[in-house]
Amino acid sequence: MASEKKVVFLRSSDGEAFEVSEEVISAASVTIKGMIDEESPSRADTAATTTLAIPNVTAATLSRVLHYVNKHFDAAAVVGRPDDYIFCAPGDEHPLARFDDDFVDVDNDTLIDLVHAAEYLHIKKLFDLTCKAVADKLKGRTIDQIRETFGIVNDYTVEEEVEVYRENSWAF
Amino acid sequence: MASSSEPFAGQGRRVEPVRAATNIGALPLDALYDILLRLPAKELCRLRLVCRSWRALLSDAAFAAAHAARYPEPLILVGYNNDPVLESSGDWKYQGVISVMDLSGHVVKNLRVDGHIMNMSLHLACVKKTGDGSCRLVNPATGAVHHVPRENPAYGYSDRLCPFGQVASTREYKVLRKVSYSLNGNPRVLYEICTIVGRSSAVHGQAQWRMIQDPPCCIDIDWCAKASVVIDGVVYFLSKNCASSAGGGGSEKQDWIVSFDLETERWRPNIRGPQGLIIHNGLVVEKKLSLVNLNGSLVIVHVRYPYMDLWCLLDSDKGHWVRQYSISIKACYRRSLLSFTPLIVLDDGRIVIHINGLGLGMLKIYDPKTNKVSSVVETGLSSAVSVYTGTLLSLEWFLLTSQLSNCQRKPHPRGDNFENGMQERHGMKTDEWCVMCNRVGEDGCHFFFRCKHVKELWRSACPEIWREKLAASNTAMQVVNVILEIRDDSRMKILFLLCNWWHERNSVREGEQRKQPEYLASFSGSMHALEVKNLNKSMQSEGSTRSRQRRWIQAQAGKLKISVDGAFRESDKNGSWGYVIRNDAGGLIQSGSGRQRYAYGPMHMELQACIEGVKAAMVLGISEIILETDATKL
Repeated sequence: MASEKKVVFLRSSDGEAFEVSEEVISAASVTIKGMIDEESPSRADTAATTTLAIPNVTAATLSRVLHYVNKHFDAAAVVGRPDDYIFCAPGDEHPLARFDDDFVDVDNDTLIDLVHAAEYLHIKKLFDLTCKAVADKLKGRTIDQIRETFGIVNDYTVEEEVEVYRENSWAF
Repeated sequence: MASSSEPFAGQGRRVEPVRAATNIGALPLDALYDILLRLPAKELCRLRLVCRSWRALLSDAAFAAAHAARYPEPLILVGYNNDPVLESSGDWKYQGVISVMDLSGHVVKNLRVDGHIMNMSLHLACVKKTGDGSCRLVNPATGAVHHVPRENPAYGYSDRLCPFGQVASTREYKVLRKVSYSLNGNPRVLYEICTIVGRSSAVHGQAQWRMIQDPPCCIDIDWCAKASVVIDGVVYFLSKNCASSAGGGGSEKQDWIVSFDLETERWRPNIRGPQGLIIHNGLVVEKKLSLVNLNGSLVIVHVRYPYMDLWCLLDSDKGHWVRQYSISIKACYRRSLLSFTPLIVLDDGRIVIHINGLGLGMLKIYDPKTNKVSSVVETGLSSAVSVYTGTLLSLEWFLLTSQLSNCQRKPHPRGDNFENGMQERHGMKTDEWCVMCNRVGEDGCHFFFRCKHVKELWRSACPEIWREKLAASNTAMQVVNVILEIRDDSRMKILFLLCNWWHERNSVREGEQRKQPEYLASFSGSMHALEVKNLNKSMQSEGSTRSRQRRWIQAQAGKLKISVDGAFRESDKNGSWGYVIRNDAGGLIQSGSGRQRYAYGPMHMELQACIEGVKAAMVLGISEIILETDATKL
């Protein structure tokens, strides 16, 4: 049993199933680890692989998440594949820093879906990475741009808006 | 990561991901929280404008605390007092700026305040308004104001410095003040305390100044900003006696520090000074010794060139001090007026020091490992500096900022004095005291025509009607026009009078006794007579001899002459310069003037004037010039 690599299938909200090593996904996602632990008594005697439903995440997002998870949490993949290091500049602190930068260099919708997925799946590293990316996107944008980018409705009245502006005018 | 099942501020969390219409407002609260925590405070204040729910989150005290914990780098408050300006009401208006800056000198926020910045501690600055004598504590981050009850007591004069602190148990702010009064002609002082009850417009009538008991006897409190500090609700004052007691003396003479507990409102036992601290000469104590709060402990700063010693108090009962640091200040020391304020010891042991004086202020960092002091940034001459203990995201937002900006939007008071116009045009500011009568608010109009002493002079020298006419002038130009209207004889008389009066003022300013107006009048008269005689003579002899040596001499034909002069004021190192370019016939070609902040001295300004004059000549393409200056060294 030890030699055999256990896998689980994750089914996205739109029905697509993704195969992932149980060991890797358990290390990455607190949520899925919990699901697997719940399932384990029932499947102890059956050889069938487990399929877990991830109802909050679409196939496109889930495939990205799993790409990330495999890069970051599969020890064998990280150590054993030198081609990852080819992309690393000598000054990079982390061998995957370049990968991370590219990973979050996506449009806003995708990024926000990733935040959601990371939040739902409890993948701390991915959550931090995506939150940082969103924060960087917020910096230096005008209020209108931020509302527009993230689809936020301005729910202030004109008077309120003026008042809030005045209170914080030093920051503008 | 905590669960995010609760909806956030009315916006339900979406269950199904909607690909097209994402909305960060609908992001999980955890994610939004995490994202916003990564942004600097200034950015966050700006983002309050996005929508209500963001504002609610960004104004949350818990969020502010989490943000402060994430960015532990301390901020520094630096207070600057501008030169006062005269308002139309006749009062002097003081304005200042409080800068919140980080340790690299980057200004996070500037707050303009209406008044004189006296002292700062915690997250507040004490700002005093000179007009009505009111005083308030201002939070520079938020603009929140704590009003202190009316400042001037009926029975005496209150010192401008008001040390304040916070009582830990009740979180109230308490302010101390010193009132000087006279009893049967003898000067006395008493000390008062006040609890700040309300904020902003809240009931400030309720707070009252209460007298506190006198400090322990034999102690003469050194009531100045450098010699007092507030730590954990206790105000410490340096005693004036410490100069004489250093290096020996009676037992009670070794009490260097008096302290007052703001919570119990009682004086605490005196603290003895460091045994090993010896002050040479015993002179100018206030320059050499100061008290600071260094990371919550009481520290005596002793400047003994080329070192600055920091004595930390270990045991206040026994008076045990230890000389924790001895910092070489050779590189940054100038002979006069420098104050060294250690602000904070960083986690890695480095000490941030603020140095002030000679027209500039700077932040430096001392590294005990290498024993080196390195410069960080110049901050400009400041009047107060302290470590900021609050958060920029603080909740207390009150309307001080807007009130102040209203004040500033008022048109500049131009009043009926022409010197103000001069200030506005050239940015030159002048002393505010009339040298002759000690009245606040010297300006040209007051000085030449309205001061009670000059009135006497006018009475004995010239017709009163001219004085009244001149005094009614609004601008310098009008004064000149009025003078030109006057008949020849009186005109000269008046000019001599004004000239002598100005000369007299400068003599008085330099410490001479003021002369009697009759004497001045007769002096002006005789000077006038002499000058008229000389003038006639020189007219007769067709300019062959000059009556006075210091007179503009015509340039040789074809050459231009540049006359330059500089002015300099010692008190704030402001200087100005001017030049006039004239042709061989005396006709004006060009003139110019300017001002210089932080000049090095009169010579600097004279030289600056020369440079500017020559520059202007170069721009005009003039090559043959004669430069004239009144500076003897040039």
